[in-house]
Amino acid sequence: MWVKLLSTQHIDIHGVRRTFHKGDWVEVGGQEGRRWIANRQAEVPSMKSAGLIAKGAGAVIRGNIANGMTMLLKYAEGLRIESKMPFGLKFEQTMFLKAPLPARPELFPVGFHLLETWEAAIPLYKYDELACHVGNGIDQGRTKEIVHDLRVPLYDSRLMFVRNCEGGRRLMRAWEDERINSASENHALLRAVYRTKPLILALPTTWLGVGPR
Amino acid sequence: MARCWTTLTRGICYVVYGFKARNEFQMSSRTLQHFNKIITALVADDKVNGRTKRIRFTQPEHYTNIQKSRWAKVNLDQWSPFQQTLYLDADTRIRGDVSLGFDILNDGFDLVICPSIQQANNILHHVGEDDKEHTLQSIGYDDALQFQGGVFYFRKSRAMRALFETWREEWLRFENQDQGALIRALHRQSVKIWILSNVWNGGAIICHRHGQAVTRRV
Repeated sequence: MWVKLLSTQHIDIHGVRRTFHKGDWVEVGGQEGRRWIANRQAEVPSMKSAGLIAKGAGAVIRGNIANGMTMLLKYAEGLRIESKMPFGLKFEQTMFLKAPLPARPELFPVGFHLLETWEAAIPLYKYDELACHVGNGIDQGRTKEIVHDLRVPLYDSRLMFVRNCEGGRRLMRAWEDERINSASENHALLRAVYRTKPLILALPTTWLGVGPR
Repeated sequence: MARCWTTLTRGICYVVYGFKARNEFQMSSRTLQHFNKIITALVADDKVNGRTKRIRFTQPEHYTNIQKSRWAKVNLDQWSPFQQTLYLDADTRIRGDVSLGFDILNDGFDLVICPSIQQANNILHHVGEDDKEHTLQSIGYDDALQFQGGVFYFRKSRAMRALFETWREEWLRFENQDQGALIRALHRQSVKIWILSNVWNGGAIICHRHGQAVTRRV
């Protein structure tokens, strides 16, 4: 894939180390390109044209639509975007984004890529603010009935990558069920995860700008 | 006796190589049995006191104790006699009932584990530089969730067998620490994971001394 460098890089080409500067276009492997983009060392004009997202990928924006669109502007070309919230999965790979959100757009290609191995990839909410610290008594009671113990981290429903497969669809249907009469989307999501047991890869809180501890 | 062991549902496994590890294990085991009536098994380089079942596990002779302990850990699915296993590092201290993780496995999860306290810029800080660089390069991003591999529950499922196979394959690249190999394995092989908080690894239920081994005999 071709990427445009945002900083100087030294790259081995046929055994010879060459120096490329900011603004240079270089061709690199997919994983290296994704990593540079995630680290803001390179950029691409659009995720789709760079081959970073699959043909059938799309995004569903919730909350402040304009804000969410702005966040996706760089990647909008070729990325199908919906702003109405069905809980069904319209795309083969769907990113659900609830704006405004301190997400890092350079990690979005990574999130989509993870769906090649996992049915869902979702950041944790916080490491130390657990299900027992969040939500009202009703949500906590419902969650405890299902997950046994509330001293567990929540997933952050503001950013979710979900594959359109049996496990992904079951998860989204369960989340929709659990959101009924629930005041906490994150508690509802935790219950849905426990009930349906998708193949879910947890992501660190830093994907949403929350420090490690 | 072998038939009895292979039908056991749940138990605790330790890996104990070296004098410090044996000391730590004795203390961990005492605290475990104080709060839980549960069978334990281990692989070790020498006899240990108590009622823990020692499992035969052949190690490459040239491995150091650290390598032996890691190789034994990534082979847990091979030598654990239990259908459901709680693996504990020898330097843990148990402060309560550990049955929650087994209940979660009963409900259908494959792996129950806690995040490491080392995340973001501190990810893989303790593995070799080549291991770290290879890990981040192969997964294609620097901001992955690191799990703490000193306390985890797993059940013998097809998915977990595949994960352990992949973990072993990845560990053999550098034959050192196991966390980088686990991150790489989890980016190749998916399993049903339930995440616990650090209450179960470094907190109120399971304390973890993280290498502050006791040198005096206990």
